[in-house]
Amino acid sequence: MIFARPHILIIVGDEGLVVVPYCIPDVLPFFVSKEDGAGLQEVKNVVGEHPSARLTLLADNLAQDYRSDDLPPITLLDRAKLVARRLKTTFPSARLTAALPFRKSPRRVLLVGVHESNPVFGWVETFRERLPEITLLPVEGSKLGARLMPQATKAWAMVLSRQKSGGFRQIVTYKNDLVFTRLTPLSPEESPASEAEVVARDIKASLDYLIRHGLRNVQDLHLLLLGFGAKDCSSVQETLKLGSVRFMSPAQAARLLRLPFAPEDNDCYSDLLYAGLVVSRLRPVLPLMLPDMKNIRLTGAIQTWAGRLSWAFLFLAFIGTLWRGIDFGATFYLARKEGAELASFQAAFDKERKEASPVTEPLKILRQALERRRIYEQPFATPWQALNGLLGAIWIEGGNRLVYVEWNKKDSASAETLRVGVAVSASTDTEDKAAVVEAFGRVVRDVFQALPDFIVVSVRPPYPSLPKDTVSTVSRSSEGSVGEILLERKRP
Amino acid sequence: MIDLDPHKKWMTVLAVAFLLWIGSGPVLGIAQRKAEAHRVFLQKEKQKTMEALAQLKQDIAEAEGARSEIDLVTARKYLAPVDRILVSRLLDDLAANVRLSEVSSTLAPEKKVFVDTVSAGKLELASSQWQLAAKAPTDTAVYLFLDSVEKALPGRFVLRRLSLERLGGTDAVLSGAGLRVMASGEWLSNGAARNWGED
Repeated sequence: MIFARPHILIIVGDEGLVVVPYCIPDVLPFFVSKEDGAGLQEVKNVVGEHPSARLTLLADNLAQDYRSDDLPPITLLDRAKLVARRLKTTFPSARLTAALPFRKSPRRVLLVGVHESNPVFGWVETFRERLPEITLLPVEGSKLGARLMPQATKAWAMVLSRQKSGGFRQIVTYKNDLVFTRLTPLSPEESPASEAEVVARDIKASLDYLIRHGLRNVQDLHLLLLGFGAKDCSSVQETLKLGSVRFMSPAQAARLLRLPFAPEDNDCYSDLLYAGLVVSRLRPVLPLMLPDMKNIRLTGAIQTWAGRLSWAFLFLAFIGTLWRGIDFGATFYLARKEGAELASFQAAFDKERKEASPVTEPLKILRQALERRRIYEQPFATPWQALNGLLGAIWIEGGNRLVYVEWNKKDSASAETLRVGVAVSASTDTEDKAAVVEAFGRVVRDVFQALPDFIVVSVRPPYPSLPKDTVSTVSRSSEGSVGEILLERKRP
Repeated sequence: MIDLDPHKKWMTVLAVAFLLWIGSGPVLGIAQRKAEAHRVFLQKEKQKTMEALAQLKQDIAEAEGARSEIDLVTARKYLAPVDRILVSRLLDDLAANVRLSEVSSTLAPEKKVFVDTVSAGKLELASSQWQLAAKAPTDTAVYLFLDSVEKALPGRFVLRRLSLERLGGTDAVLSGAGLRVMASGEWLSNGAARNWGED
């Protein structure tokens, strides 16, 4: 209720109006007779003083009709067209028509017609600018029975109340669906005793009608009398022999239903009860509006909500654009920064390169020259070390002589070899072959000791003496005292 | 016909919002991508420039180091092509200096050789096989000749084979009787100039 919007509900009856303000301080509910011009003006003033309050007209008068109708089995798409046609044929001169489906019987529908002569339209025109919605008291009050009499949900129920604005209102439901309603004007001269007679007479008149609507047994009907004295109307049960009769004051009913406001305890009129029932709902059961006003309200609602959504969407679009724009701006700024740094680096580089060009330009030449020099100055193997060692080992002074030297090193990977021919001088007669060979052997040993880095092999002694040689005592002229030694440098 | 007049205002706002939503995405998206691509490009260029600057500094240091090892004039000499006829004549002259006689020397045609180096990349050099046959008075003359060849000639004169044979009687020492010398090896050089004006 904290968030309830101010609401003015006007019950428009044939006898007058009951104005019920809700959530409007300092304005109490009041009744205005239809002849009371000042009162009627007061009504206009109250409505005019609260321009933001919701305005509802609750019609409780004779100029409204209800007919239940059965529909053939048709699709939902065709149902609307058929119902429209039935409304037109049933209420050809009604200014407002509507259809209310029966919840328990999907193919039955309650056709509602509000006639041109209904006083509610006069007030609609009076408050045209406020776009008031029209509700019908029998329709809005049709749930009252089920809420106050649990047995009404499964059976026939009748709620009989009296309104100051209109009169005695019967609302008959079957399994909580509105079946029949009747309004009997108030008669101020009625005494409580005669009231009971009026009540009984009214109910009896309705019973015949209800039997035609399907009430088989009066004992299936449960009655709720609102605002009637139990003592005064106790004869109703005796007379009618209904299923049950319950008495309740409007104030009791309002408290039981926990409505936002209730009539006075001693108030027998149910106007405030129905008003409380309507304002307590978020939406009426059957809200009606004149077609042109409906269009205006729809247009206004579309304008309001679509406008709000459009502005919200525009705001979101703007935020999204701004977000993307900020991203773009940041990237753009970073790119500019990178560009400035690049220009700075480029300038520094160009300056350095220009200053260093006398030094760096010939760099390629210098590199090539240094590499060529390194290649050309690489050491390579020579026979000098081996020859020096060999000469020392051969003991030239002793008469030994180098006859030939052949040094080979094919390439850097192959072994270094030295083939040496040595003429040996023996201490005794050179005809002593054995001595010569022995002397040659000494030379070989000397060479071996002098050149430890070489493998020394005696290839051919001065005279044949090796296992593979032919040894002879016959001296041939081709034989000499030259032996051959092969030296090969050891690989690391 | 639906009357759109009362709805013009919010429809205009909605259209603007829709266009802004739809349009800003692609437009700003494209602009963003281009700006990002440009920024990445500039970053890479900056990186390249920084690397080039660092490389330049390295080159300067290297050039100064190289200049301390070799001057430009000497460096150009190391890059100069060789004159094969001049080299052949020089061999004869060096042989004559140490009194080698009956000298016969040959330089085989050049073959291209490529050598990978650390700082100068692949170098194109020329390799020639050389041969020498002569008579020498002493083995010392041969040693002096080969030593002078190694020092005097451009490139790298590598000895691969040396044969000394004593001439004369077996009683004479190798070093004193005269000897026949045959030597061969490989000559690695810059190669002869192939075109006029080639430096």
